[in-house]
This record gives sequence, C-alpha cells and structure tokens, in this order.
Amino acid sequence: MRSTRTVRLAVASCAVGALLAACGTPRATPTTPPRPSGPPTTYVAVGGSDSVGDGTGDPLLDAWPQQFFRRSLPQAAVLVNAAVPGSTVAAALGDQAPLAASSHATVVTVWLVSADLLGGTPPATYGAELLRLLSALRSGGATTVLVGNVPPLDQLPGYPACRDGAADTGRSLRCPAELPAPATLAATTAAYDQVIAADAARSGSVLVDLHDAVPSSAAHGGAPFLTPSGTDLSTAGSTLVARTFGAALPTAASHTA
Amino acid sequence: MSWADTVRFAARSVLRRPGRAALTVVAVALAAALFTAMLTMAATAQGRVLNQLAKGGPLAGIQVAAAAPNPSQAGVDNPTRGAPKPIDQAALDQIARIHGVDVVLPIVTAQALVAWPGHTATDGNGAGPTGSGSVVFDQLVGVDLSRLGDFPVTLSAGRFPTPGSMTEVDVTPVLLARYGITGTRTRSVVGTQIVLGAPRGFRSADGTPVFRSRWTKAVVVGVVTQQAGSGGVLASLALVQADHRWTAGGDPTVDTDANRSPYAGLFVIARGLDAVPSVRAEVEAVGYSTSAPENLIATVERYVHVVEIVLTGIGVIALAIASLGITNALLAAVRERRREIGILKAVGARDRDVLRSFLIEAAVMGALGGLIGTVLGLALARLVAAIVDGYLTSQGLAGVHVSTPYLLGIGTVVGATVLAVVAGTVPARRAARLPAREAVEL
Repeated sequence: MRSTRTVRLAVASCAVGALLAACGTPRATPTTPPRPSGPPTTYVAVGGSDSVGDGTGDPLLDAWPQQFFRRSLPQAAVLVNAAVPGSTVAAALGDQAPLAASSHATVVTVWLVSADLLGGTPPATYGAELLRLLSALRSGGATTVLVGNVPPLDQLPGYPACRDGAADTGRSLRCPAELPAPATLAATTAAYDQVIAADAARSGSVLVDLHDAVPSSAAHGGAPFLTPSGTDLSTAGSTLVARTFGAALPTAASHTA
Repeated sequence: MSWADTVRFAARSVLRRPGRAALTVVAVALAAALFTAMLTMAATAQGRVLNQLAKGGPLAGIQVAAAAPNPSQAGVDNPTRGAPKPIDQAALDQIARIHGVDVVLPIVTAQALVAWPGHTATDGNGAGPTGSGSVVFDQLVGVDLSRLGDFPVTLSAGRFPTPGSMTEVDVTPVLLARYGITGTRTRSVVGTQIVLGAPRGFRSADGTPVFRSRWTKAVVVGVVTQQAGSGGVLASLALVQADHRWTAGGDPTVDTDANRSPYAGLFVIARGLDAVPSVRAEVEAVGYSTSAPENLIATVERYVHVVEIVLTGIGVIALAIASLGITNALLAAVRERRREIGILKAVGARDRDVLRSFLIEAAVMGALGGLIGTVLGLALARLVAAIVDGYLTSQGLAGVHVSTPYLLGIGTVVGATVLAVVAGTVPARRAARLPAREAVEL
C-alpha cells in the first residue's frame, strides 16, 4: 500500500510529459514530410492531457500529435486528435477507440500513461486494458499502431529536484510531501514498461521507446522545457515526443506492409 | 487620265510640300489618338467598374442563400434574409430547371480553425487561451475550382488551387489582416503551409462536451478577394465537403451553431442580365433568398453610357478640327497648282480626274493619320492602364486589364479617312472646276 501511494506522489511531482521535455533540446534539423503515395493517411491520436497539448504555448498547434502529423506524415494526411485530458486506458477503450474505428484510421498513436499511473492502476490491470485497446485499434492488422512507453521517471530532472528541495533551487515545482525512493519509482516504471512492451508485441503494434529515447537528467542538467508547474509537457517536450514517434514510423510502415 | 496617273499626280503634290503634308497627318493622328485612347480607357473603366460590382463574377450572377426569402424585399439587390433554410441536392436540381438559368454552382462552407505556424493572430480573436496564438476561427469556402471564372473571385497574388486539390488553398486579405499581414506583404504568404481544423462536438461518457478536430495540411498558393461565401480560405469543393461532413456529423446538442445545410449557398448564372429579375423571382418562389447587383449594374451602365457619349463627342470634335487642317492644306495646294491643273486640263484631263486626284490625296492623309493615331492611342491607353495597374496591385487590389479593341481601331482609321475625304471635297471641287484657260493665263 505504502509503495503505491509513494508512486502516486512521485508521479504528481514529476509528470511524465514534463520530465520527458526536460531531457535536452531537440536538434533543429528541418524535416520534410514524405510525399504522398497510395491512399491518404488518416492518423488518430489516442491519449490524455499530454496529447491534447496542455502546458504548451499554443496547444492546438504545439501538441505533440499535431507536431508528429506536420513533420512525419504525408501532405495529404488527415489528423483526428481523439485525446481527452485525464483519460485512462479504460476510458479510451470506450471513448477514443470507437472514434479511431469510425475514422478508418490507418495510423494510430497511443500514449496513455499519466492518468493510470496517477490513479494507481496496477501494472497487470493496466496491461490487460492496454492489450484490449491495442487489439481494437489494430483492426485485424489493417492499422499501424504506435504505442509509447514510460520514460525513466527517477532519472528525470523533476524527481531529483523535488528530492533535493524545490524551495532551495528556487523553482516552482509542485512537489509532494512524500517522495518514493528511487528504487521504488524505477520498479513501477519498469513494470509499466514491461507490460507495454509485451502488449505491443502481442497486438502487433510498434513500441515507441521513450524510456531509452529520453536522456538522463544528469546528462542535461536541469529542466529547461518543464512548464512552471512541472506537471505538463512544454512545447519543446512535445517536439521531443513527436520526433521520437516520428522516428519509429518507418519501422511501423514496413511492419504493416 | 488613268488611275495610275491620278495617284502619281496626288503623290507628287504631297511630296512637293512634305512638311505641310506631315503636319496635316500629325494633326489627324493626334485627333485619332485622342479618340482611341479615350474610348479604350472608358471601356476599360466600364469593365473594371462592372467587374467590381459583380465582384469578379459574371454580371448575370445571382447569389442564393441557405435562407428563406423576405417577401417585403422582393427585387432589392441585397435583401435581408429570412429564417435559415438548408439547401439540399433536390433544391439545387429544382433551381437548375428554372427557365433562364444557365448554370447552378454549389458553394459549401465549413467552420475551421486556421493554424498558421510562425504567425500570431493580432486581432485578439485567436483560439489561444488569451485570444492570441497562431490559430484563429474562420470558415472555409469550397467551390468547383474548374469554374472559378464564373464566381465572384479575384486573384491578387499567386494562383488558384488546382481543381479537386485536397492540399492547396487560397486565402483572403481579410484573413491575412487578422495576422497583421497587409499591403504588399500579402504576397509573401504564397507558398507557406497552414493547418486547417474542422471542429466536431462530442459528448464524452460522463456527459462532458468535447470538441475534436479533423486536421489537414494545406499550402497557400494564392491570395484572393472572394464573395462566393463568407470565409477567409478558398478551397476545392472536395476538401471543404470533407470538413463540412465531419462538423455536421457531430452531436447537435454540443455544437449548436454547426452549419448542417449540405450547401451554404448557390451561385446561379442567368442567361443574360435581362433574365436576372425573372430567375430571382422563380428562385424565391422555390423558397430561397437571392441577391444580385442588377439594379446597381443597370444604374452604373446608364452613367457609363453617358460618359462614353461625351468622350466620343470630344474625340469627334478633335477629328473634325483635324479635318479642317486637311481642307486648309488642300486649298493651299489648289492655289499653288493652278497652272499645273490648267496644263493638265489643256492636254485632256477631265474635271473628275482632277477631283479624284485631290480626294485621293485627302484620303491618304486621313488614313495615314488615322492609322498612326490609332496605334498611338492604344499605346497611350496601355501606358495609363499599366500605371493604374501598378498602383492597384501595390495596394493589394485586383489590377486592370486592357483588351485590344480591334473594332474601335478599324473604325477610327475608316472614320478618319472618310472625314478627310469629306474635308477634301470643297478644295477638290474647286480645283476640278478651275477653267484651263484661266489657270494657264496666271
């Protein structure tokens, strides 16, 4: 019980998206969307607050699915952002998956971690619901589904900043009174990542490895892309996530071919 | 005297006093140039004014709105509309069957979030949290892009989207102004990419209203002023219909303002201006409000016709004055060549040979002056038009186009020749009646 509570507090202070964003400035390499070939791409983003763009300067334009859509998909592609703030995997099954089906999605991204982690959903339950969601989205293999995992929360800047005392550093992070031990946090994150990887493999989805893509806080010193509250993805953080999903896309395309 | 001898005699007369002949030709040319330039500019101005009234569309165009007609405003150019009334395919077909209708072109509009990366809305109505941001609420206007010539649409920069394109759009100066882009800067947007979002209202499982948008990428290929429909983005019918379907398919209890009429309006082209009143009445009988600038166009046409009459009068007076120059020149020639005329008559030339010689001389000067004047006049009209065009386009407005009025050119040359012949009649008759004896005695 204590372990679960501790993990909740940790996640509240170090929101997944914001922590991701803190891991370094993305390279400013201009990307050219690929030229259209074959039928038009219909992309549906399934997610929560991070996918809606909460915390970015211009949510409608800076949300990571919007950036992924603009940078990585063909000119004639269509985006339907089905994300709902605070959505869990269970909620997405009833709300977002039907929209993806009715939109005849050809590409779907799924990044739904924060609400379940914050809500204390056990990894096994989370894994079972995620598998149902991914299987429904795959539409028997007709749809390319990319699913993102959990970044290394214990290594990201928010967590050590809170441990070291946010007041001392002069930052406005919303730190919980009680923080989990690094080992506990790492174990929970690893458990989530494990079920996400297993579900991706079983459903034929593509795992987008944010855990490995996110550099450690130590290497980058600080959190330049955290929102002031430390709970949301910043614009730069959204860009990093969009690029990571974009890098996984060619693999996904060949996977479904 | 043969025709050849007559022409040779006339040519010798002209060449004997080349300066005087040249001045006479210049006088006629200047008058003809004035006449041609004024009428060409009047025709261009008339075309520009009428085009402005018709918003770039055909003069016999009628806008049909998705609203019931207001009975108290029948025949008014821009009446206030009645209650909203959807236009469906059946209504379109019914209107297309009305006598006097040439073609019916559908117009589709769709609510849209316009996201312009790198630009910020400056009008305080952005979709961002504080009315700022790169996203603004606007409307897409979809028309059959292969029939753009029939719509009230004027291109001011770039080009029109390719018909059927799902990735090309034109934008209006009104939309650009919302981003603070005005004047000559409007041209700089051609080639940039925007993102368009069609909103759709949903109700989530817990009953909370949620809006989700269908986003598409589009390249701005031109800047247009358009009156086809209310909106800042002009696109293909297919693109806008896809967005319209998305929005119209939402939960009506969430998005109560969504336009659910399949067509936002129709653009009906009547078979000529005369058919416009009857077609409007028939469309209103079907149950839809119409608008057309028919009364305004008729009024303007009357005023422009008066201006044309005045300008034509000025041109004719100038030509008449120039003709007097021909008369004067020929009278001088008669006076100088009395001896020559007498000798000609003494050796057998008839009165009509002499008459013909002088008339040919007059006709040649008139034709030459008319031809040079017509070319000069057209060049002058084009020069003025180019200056006006440069000014208008620098202001972000549609330019002017001068067509070559071949009929006017031919008419001016023929008219100048006829006037010259008429002007030369008196001196030619005087020369022809000159007695041979009197001429030789001098």
